[in-house]
Amino acid sequence: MTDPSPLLKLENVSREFPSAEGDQPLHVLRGLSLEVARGESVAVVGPSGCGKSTLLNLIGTLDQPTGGTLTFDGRELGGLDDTELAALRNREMGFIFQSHHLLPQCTVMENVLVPTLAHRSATPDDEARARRLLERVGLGERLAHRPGQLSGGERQRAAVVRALINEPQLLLADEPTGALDEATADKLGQLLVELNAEENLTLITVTHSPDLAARMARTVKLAEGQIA
Amino acid sequence: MTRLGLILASLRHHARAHVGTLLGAVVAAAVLTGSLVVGDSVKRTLQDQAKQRLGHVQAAVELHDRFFRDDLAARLNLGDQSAVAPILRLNAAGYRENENGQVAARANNIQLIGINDTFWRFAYLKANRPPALEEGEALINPRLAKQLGLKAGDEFRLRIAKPSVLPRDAPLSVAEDLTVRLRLTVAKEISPDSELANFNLRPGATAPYNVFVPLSWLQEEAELPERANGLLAWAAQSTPEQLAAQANAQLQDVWQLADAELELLENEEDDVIDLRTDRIFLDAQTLKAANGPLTALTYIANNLHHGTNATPYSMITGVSSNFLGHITPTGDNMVITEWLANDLQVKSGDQITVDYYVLGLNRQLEERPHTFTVSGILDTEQPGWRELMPNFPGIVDRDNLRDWNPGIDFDSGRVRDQDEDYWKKHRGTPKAFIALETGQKLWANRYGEATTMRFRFNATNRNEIEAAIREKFDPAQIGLRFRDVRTEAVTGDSANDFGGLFIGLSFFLVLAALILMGLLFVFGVEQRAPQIGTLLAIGFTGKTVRNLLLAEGFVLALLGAGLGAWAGLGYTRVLVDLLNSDWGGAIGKGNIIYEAQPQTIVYGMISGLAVALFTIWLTVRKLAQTQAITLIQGAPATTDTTRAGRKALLTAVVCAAGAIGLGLAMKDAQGQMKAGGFFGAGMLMLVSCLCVCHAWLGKMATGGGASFATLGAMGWRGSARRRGRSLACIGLLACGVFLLVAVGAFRLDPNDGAQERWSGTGGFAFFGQSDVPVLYDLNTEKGRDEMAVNGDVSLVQMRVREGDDASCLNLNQTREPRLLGVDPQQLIDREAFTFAKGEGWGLLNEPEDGAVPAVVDMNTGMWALHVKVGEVMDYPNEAGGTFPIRIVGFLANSMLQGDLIISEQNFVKQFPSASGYRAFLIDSDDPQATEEELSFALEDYGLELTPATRRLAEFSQVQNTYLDIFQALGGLALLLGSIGLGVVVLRNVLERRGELALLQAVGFRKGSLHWLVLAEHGGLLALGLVGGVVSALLAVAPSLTGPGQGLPVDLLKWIIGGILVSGIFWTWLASVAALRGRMLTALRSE
Repeated sequence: MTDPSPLLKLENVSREFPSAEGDQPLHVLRGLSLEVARGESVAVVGPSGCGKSTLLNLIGTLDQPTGGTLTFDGRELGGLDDTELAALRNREMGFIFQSHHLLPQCTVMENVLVPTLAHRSATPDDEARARRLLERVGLGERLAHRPGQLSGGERQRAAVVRALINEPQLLLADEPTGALDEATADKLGQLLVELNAEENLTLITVTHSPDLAARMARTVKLAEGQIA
Repeated sequence: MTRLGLILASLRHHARAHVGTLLGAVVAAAVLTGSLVVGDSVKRTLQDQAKQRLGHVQAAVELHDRFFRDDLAARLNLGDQSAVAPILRLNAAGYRENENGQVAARANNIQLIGINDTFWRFAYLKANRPPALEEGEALINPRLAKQLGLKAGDEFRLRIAKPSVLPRDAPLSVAEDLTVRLRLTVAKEISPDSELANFNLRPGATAPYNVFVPLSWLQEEAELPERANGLLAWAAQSTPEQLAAQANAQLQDVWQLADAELELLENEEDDVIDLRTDRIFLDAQTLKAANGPLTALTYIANNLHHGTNATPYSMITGVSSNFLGHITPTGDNMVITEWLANDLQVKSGDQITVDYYVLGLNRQLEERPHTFTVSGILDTEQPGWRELMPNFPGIVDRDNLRDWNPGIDFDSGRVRDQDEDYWKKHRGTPKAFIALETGQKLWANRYGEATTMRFRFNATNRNEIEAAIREKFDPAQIGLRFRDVRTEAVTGDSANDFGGLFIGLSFFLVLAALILMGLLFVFGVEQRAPQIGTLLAIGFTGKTVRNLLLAEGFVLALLGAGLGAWAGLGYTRVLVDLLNSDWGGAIGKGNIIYEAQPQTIVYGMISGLAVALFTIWLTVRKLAQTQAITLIQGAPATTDTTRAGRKALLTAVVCAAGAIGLGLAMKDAQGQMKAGGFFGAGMLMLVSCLCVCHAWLGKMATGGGASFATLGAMGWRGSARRRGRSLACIGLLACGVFLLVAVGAFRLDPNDGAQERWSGTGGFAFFGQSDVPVLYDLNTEKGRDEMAVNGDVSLVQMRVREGDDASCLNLNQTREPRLLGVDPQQLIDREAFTFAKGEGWGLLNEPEDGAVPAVVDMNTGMWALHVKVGEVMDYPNEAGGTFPIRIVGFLANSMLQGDLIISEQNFVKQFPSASGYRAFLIDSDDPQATEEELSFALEDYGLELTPATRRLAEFSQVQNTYLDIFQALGGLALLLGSIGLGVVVLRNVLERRGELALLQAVGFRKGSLHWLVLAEHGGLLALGLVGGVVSALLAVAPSLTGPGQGLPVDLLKWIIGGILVSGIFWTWLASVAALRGRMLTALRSE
């Protein structure tokens, strides 16, 4: 039986950035409220500077709101300290950035296992899962390769597997296809949708790509820091 | 996959980027290890020197101005495998003549050592065969052989101060035949390693000049039969400390009265046993120990007169009660003999005036009268009276009274026939007796207060008396005490911790290496900012990420420390080579032997690891606090520039105000406090300058400040982009300039104001030292007549108690520096020297809490003796005990380095046997004439005159060489600093290659881009220089007026010029390297 409560709830969330002395602060998000259900896939779209990435960073606890509250899986994030937030990111969330940010010194397999090292060493189970996921995304033959030996699409797929290694509830993707050509981007979009279903993931992706947005169950459009 | 695997993978992948970091760690560890190993080398050198100068000697007795019987050595039995050797050690001056009989070479301050065969048991003899030595032959050490140009078979001459059991300053001591000339043939130049050629009981800056001769021969030549003044001891089964204790315990049992120059004279016929001394006067301790029933003090009256009747040159004796039997003189009563009553025509109740001499400090005679009332008349001579005259030299052995040659003015013309008859018939029988107390009031002196202690032959016996004296008299009271001379020597403890000293001197080099290392490490880490951000994003805590980076840094630091410790040995070798050559001035005339102890290398490694790790921790601690998203985007860690800028400005204002306030407060302060205060003010100003730079860069970073009107201005704006790096460059350069300029101002110029009284020479032309003491005051006509000095001389004469050389030229730890006794008034009148602490020479006359006030050169006080003004130290006195000396003042940069100076009055109280003056501060308007005159007149005294400026220069050279070392190492550090600037330039330009390519794309020439880069980084260079120089000038302001000091203009020029050239070179090189190739490719890759 599925938990009916939303996985993520944003209430009246704001984010301001201080400006140069004497100027007004920059309001990027203005009283935004949003709920995301478990297993849902959401695309966040909007023009540049509308606050898409800022919203994603707030959800991913990489940034803190200047107003409002964020609740994840029933827990209010404002009450957590840095260590708890780090643990939350490690176990409950996965990140995919526009650039893969794989560690160049590590193999594909090792890169995938890096998140398991945040609080312990990688176990045989982790390695088995990593192997299975890498095979799932078509990198089964590339386990011992380093990022420099992969194509752009392969790197991004490795980054996706890295995001999934700790079996997160929420996958956050910031322009995951932004640096890829159309065909590769299309394949990656498809992969994300499939994984959303297979892994029972909640997926939130920020994108400028209408194709990718179209693959998501819901699209949230932002304009001037608010849901349009 | 483990964290360790991740760390190792990172290290492998970023190996090239880590090379710079590793090199920084290597340099830091090398310098630290190398500096510590210098300490080992100095220690080893001192240990080797100690072995050379002591051989097997563990404990020794060393007497000053006293002698004991040489068979005392044989009376000591320290066990099966042991040896005790007597030596007679005398000061000598020597010279070698050429074929024409002219002096070809001279040497002063020679140790002439009389030895017997036992001496060789203390040497590390090869083949167990001591060098052969006949009478009239000498063994010499290499240093003397070199100085005099002697080889085996050569003849040379020595002149020694003729030793005298009776101190030369004692009343009635004869001041003639003061020297003995010896002609010697060199038997052999002996080896310092195996034949104890450099034997010396005291550590010195250099090996002494040594001449070894047969003990018996020297005793004969010096007219000291069977006497010695030193004992050397060794025992295989004992530690030096145990041996000294054991030997001292035995001394108490085996010493004899003759060892203390005491004798018991028995005269059964007269029913007396007299305790007498060759030193004429029995001191209070001896009298107390002997505790005889009768005491007498006999003195010479120049004249006894009653009305017009006068009797010249008569003995008068002060006697204790019962001495004369039924009659005892009291107060100012006098009991006279019948002969005197007849001669002066007096009877009981008449008055007789006695004229007698008292001897001043420098043999100045003052005739004083004292009037007595005749209270009784006795026979002309009674049994035992004749023996009351001590063995006054120049009197006791004369057949005729007219032939007397006493140590006082003697007019033989006053001697009448009846006086001569009396002398022939009654010899020195006293003509009058007074109360002992009155006699002691008039004639007691620092040498003693009686001349005879008398026992009745029938009431006791010699053995009983001797046993009683030996029981109560501690031989240590006359210096007969073994001292452990080995323990201190072989530990190799130096006056200063040279390891620490060189770490201090290399401090800035270490700092520069660490800053460079930190910069390079942080550059490497910054390059990986997105990866670090990703780690934070995927759930690593900031602490975990920091620990991962620290672990990487630890491996680098460990590797760097290991390689650095190894490289440090090379660094030490270079330092040791330099100390033995160009930097020799820092260590006097020694020769440092390279030595590296394993534990020191480990300490160096650990220190290198610790400082490198700390630096890495400083660089990564902030990075891990930066928001993940900021790092992922590749942006540098930033702070709130506005708030940080305000804080920096506030700090700048506070520091500047503090600097000005401190400067004003210290304006009228004195010495060290003033120097320290101004140095502090300079440091505050430096911090203020750096804060201003910080704020200004912050303002530019937010778009304020420089406009974009010119390319240069655009460059300036660029320098604000990475404020941390820019500030590190400015700070490194400014600190370097500050330290080098500030320290440079402490360089001493011995010629600066050398004629002035305030200068380090005290305005004196020469510093003189003689081997034979001068007994007269050469400032007086009489003194000059006695010493055959023609013409006027003006000088300050000082008494000398030999001790350790405590000047900066001696690396050894010194506990008993040489002591000088001076009349403070002479220096007060001349206003000679400048006091760094304390208020002038008058303090020497103001004892406090019973401690003897002393003045010492500040360098000696601080670095050799490690004392502060106001502190009290114990110093051994002649009586075998110690007396407290309180340091009351420090002299600034003076030529009196190495000596403790006390007042002459206090000196003679503590060292009554030390006769005459052996150190001289000589004024002169015509130095050449003065030198010729004094050298000629005092040739027999072994006078060595050193121009005051040269003496001061030798001392200044130590400080100046250390400054050279500091500046040379500081210069290296600045070179590293300017390389750091180059690295920053390279990094900045590489990071912005795209931007610069864009500028090229829009029409800028490459030359303009170079100019842009130069303007940006030249600004940092200029800021560092200006900040450093301004702060340094404030710091050294008070020193610029000290003796021998001034603004180091040349140094300033060199430092500023050198840094400018070096900085511009590295900046240019870095910009060329970064801008080479096709820039537009960079634009496309953006």
